[in-house]
Amino acid sequence: MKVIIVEDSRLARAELKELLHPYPTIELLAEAADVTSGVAQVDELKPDLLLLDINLPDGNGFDLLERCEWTPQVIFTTAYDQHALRAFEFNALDYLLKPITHESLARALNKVAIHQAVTAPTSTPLVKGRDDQLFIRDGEHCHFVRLGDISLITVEGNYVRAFFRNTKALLCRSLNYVEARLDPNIFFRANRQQIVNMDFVARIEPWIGDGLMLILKDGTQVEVSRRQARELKQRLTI
Amino acid sequence: MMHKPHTGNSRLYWPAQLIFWGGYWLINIVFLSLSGLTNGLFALLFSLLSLLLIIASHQLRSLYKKYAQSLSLGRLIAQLVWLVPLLAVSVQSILHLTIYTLVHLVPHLAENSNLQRASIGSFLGYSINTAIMLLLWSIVYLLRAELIRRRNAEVEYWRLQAELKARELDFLRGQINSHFLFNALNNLRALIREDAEAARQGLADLSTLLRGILQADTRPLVTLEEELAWVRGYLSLEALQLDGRLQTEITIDDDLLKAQLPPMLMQTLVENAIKHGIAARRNGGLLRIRAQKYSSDRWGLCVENPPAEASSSHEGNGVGLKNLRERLQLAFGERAHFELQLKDPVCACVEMPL
Repeated sequence: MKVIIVEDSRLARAELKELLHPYPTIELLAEAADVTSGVAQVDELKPDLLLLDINLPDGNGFDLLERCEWTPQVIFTTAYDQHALRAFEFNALDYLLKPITHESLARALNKVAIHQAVTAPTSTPLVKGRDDQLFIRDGEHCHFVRLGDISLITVEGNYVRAFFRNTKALLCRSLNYVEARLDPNIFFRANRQQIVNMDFVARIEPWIGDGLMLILKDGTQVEVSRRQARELKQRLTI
Repeated sequence: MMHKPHTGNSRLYWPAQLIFWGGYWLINIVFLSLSGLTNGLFALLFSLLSLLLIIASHQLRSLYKKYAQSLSLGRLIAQLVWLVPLLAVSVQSILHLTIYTLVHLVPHLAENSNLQRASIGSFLGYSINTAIMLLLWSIVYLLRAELIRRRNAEVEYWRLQAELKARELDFLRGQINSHFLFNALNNLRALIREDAEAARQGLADLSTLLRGILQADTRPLVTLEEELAWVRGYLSLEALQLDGRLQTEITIDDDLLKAQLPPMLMQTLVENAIKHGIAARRNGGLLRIRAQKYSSDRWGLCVENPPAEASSSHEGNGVGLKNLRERLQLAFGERAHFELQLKDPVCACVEMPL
């Protein structure tokens, strides 16, 4: 398991390294001391796991996740921060309180290992598949979303809103940006406003002006523009 | 004679009423049968009496409720002096009127059951008897109410005590920056492996600081010298956390070492400067502490730090500064002055009397 530590205190990093030492399967790829260098390292090295401090000089751990294109598994670490603790509890995220003990680390690593065995990461680095994760922060809510769980992405102002597991959350990216990073075999750009996960399509019906209407499993209707309808028909006949 | 006392609790009021006046009815019947006079008519008349007494005592209850809220004892007694006789006479009047009507309308029934017309004397006797019953009822009711009041008062007392303790704890928790404390402990833990001697020094610094914090609310003022010892301890622990990112420069006029200030005042300023300034910068910066004499009776304390890089994520809620202003006001009244300048560098200055 490839790991990156993001932590502003040098001594705390040394302590974490020492704690990770007994695990032969863990490979420490890099260490970062702030959000900016952390984002760069995560996107370049694509670790499986991030040990992430919440308080960083140029922002916090959530800022880092939001800016990363690659979303690894995350174990948050914090000394004692009431705001962060509330966010962790509220969003049911895994966290370790400093000073970290061998036992608490072992428990957290175990959970990650189990999770990893269930969802083996896809090997295509640029395009994300069903089992890849996406981190979305929408106000107080933090979501680690499996891409396969997202049914629909729609434009909302300059950003997009993702619908998943009966929830929706605003993602601060443009629709084109998101589309470029999604597997086109799973996600389909239905029109200028919407991207649909084809796994969630229940029926396809003909629509006015050579268009098509996609009806999702939850009953949501998504209109396919004429141009995109042609492409979809082509894709479906192959 | 069994009668369950009243409770102020309205859920138990009506059952208690039934038991009390039901018991009264039963006793009347028992006495009646002892004197050889049992028949349905008497049972019915005594039922009417108990029913009337329930209504009468209910009137008293509304008076006692008013008493519990606002009425004085004197006013209550003044009210009872006329209300109890009035209620007793009313109850007996209705009862006697009923008997009178029965005796006249169905004479044979009255004769069979030995029912007689009452004299003025017996009417008065019965009324006094009823008044006594109403007073007895009142005693039971008021005793029960008082019992409940005392129990509630005790519960309230302990609840307030618990709240007070919680507040004290909150205050202490506010004094000790928990985030700093646990970071310091974590760093010291790592330092033990790296440099045991430095870790020993770190623990001593932490002790100094904790002692200062714990003493802070026991004294209104401390000397600058004492405060400086706490702040130095704090700074050396922050240096572990911030590593090379923290540089400090402390300039103190020698004759100010005995100057007095509210405890933890400089500490608050320094903590703010680090939390919202130096710790919020990737490359850290210079923390500058200056204590200067302005005149023969005034001096100033200034703490400077470079501004934060990502301001939004390191914004405070202003509680620390509000608290600081309150402590200054408490110690020096209008003779102290605090100013925070949000420029580069950020400068927090306190002017105090000597």
